Amino acid sequence: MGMLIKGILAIFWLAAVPAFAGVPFLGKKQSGNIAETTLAGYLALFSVMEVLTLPMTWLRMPLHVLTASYGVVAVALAVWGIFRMKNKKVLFGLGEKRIHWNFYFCLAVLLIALQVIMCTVLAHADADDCFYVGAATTDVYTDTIFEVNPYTGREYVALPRRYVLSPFPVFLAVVSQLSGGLHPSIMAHVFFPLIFLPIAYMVQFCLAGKWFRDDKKAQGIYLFLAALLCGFSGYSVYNAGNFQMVRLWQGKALLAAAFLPLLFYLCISVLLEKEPSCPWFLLVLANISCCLLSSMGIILAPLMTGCFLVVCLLLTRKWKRVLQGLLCCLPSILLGILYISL
Amino acid sequence: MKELIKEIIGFWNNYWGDSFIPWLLLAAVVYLLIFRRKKKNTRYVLCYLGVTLFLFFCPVTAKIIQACIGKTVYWRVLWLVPSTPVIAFAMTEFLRERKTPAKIAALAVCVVLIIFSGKGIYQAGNYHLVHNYQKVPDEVAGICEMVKKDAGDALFLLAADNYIGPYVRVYDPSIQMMFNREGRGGYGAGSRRLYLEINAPVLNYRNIGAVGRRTFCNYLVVKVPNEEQKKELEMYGYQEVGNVNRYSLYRLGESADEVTNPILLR
Repeated sequence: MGMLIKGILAIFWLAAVPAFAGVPFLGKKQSGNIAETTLAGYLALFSVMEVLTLPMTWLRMPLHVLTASYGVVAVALAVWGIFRMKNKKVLFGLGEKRIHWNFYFCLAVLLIALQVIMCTVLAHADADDCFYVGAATTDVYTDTIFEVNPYTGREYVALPRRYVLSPFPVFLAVVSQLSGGLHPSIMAHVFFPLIFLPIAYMVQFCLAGKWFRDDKKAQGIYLFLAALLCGFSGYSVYNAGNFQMVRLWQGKALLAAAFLPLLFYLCISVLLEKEPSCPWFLLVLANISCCLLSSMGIILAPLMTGCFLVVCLLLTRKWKRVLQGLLCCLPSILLGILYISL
Repeated sequence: MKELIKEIIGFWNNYWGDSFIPWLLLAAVVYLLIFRRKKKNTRYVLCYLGVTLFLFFCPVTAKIIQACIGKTVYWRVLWLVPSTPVIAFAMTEFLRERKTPAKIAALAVCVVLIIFSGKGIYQAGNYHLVHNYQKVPDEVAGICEMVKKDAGDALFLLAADNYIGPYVRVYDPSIQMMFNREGRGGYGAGSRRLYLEINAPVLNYRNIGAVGRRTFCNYLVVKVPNEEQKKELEMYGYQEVGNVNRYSLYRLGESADEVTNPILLR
């Protein structure tokens, strides 16, 4: 299959499917803008991936079974989303909640586009790829899930306990297979930054929408400044901005760049606002998604939710919300206990 | 306790490097506290920021978190601190009420502040151009193509240093490695010895050849040797297959299937 077709398939699985799959998860409104639907779609799809991968890993099932299962569920969610959409124009930025293109917003988009071009055209060598991308290429080559050691190519003696609960490399392997067998390394180094860098800024766009609801110019300024701050985060290799800009194809980088900020947005929306602007189950999905991305996500996601529960107690004293928040952390807490005890 | 606090401050300093971003964050917090404290969004954000900073700096919580995630990666707790949103939020609050010409001038000042406080990602030397779609170093792509062509269908093991090794199986997962990054996945003392020899600051080709032969390592990727060093490798049966930029590929014997490490037959 030609590279062009594989590229189109990659865009289909990474951009089109999440954009539609997110619609049923927006709760009552179901007419969010493209950023809201895509982010909700990723939360749903990553949760599906985590739920499918864990048992299949323990049962030592082949990768193609997981690929087929994920493909069917993802398409089913996308089709469900298309039927549930109240206003189909919304998704394409033509409806009520369309994006307003002012000078500042254009400036932000231009800066983000330059960053995307840099990340997709140029290469960054990161030795952590040895495991994170190596696990995906190995799984595809051997048609297994975490059975072969990506460092050497020989069978594992025991399951890699640090990684098995956070199978983001398996997600990379699955979408590569779904994209006509695109090499996982090309998927990781070209298509993941192409899609996930805009995803990270979609989260910032949602935050801007929350903080400057009726001021479109302020939203543009906020997005531009956030992009600039990330672009100038080369001062250390530890900060979240640096992870976002140089190795977004690794689960921990996506966690730091997009999914922890998304959890931050959801915690404000669900736990702190007078009338929650997002359904509570998105918080559950966000916690599960963080678990998929990195073992760090298993600990950091409930930690962030916990911090917000403290803030909720201090500012609103709504015990019902606190209890709700605690319940949302349950999947992460369970996996956390498993992670520590393994 | 004192030691732990010192460590926590060390993590904080390393996280920010020599940038002025933490000062920018402090300025943003002060601005929001003085001028925007009545807004509910400001209260949420600042209250959360306070809780996360307490969580990070408090030795008791730090000890508990370190027990869960590990001591060496404790700095990742700082990912919970929303520095980018808080700085951008405060700057936008500062800019939004100004009229257009003043707004653009103030925005330019903010841009300059960010540029001087941080360091450009490209400027920090993170990106470079390569000539393969997989985006691994060009030497790795060249070596992988060369070894696959030379070995054909034979089972073989390859050993390379910490620059080449990590990307070999990223490029081509059909290649089996003797060991990988930092010696991971290696089997036995011989493998460890070869890892240390091939990554030594000054390469001893005689030792590399001897350990490679003893461990039945079919292919060695080494920095291009001089004539004398070539002879040392040849003394142990290694023959040059070819060069890619700074690296040379050597094969043990006449063909890849001349020797087979027992580990490949398990």
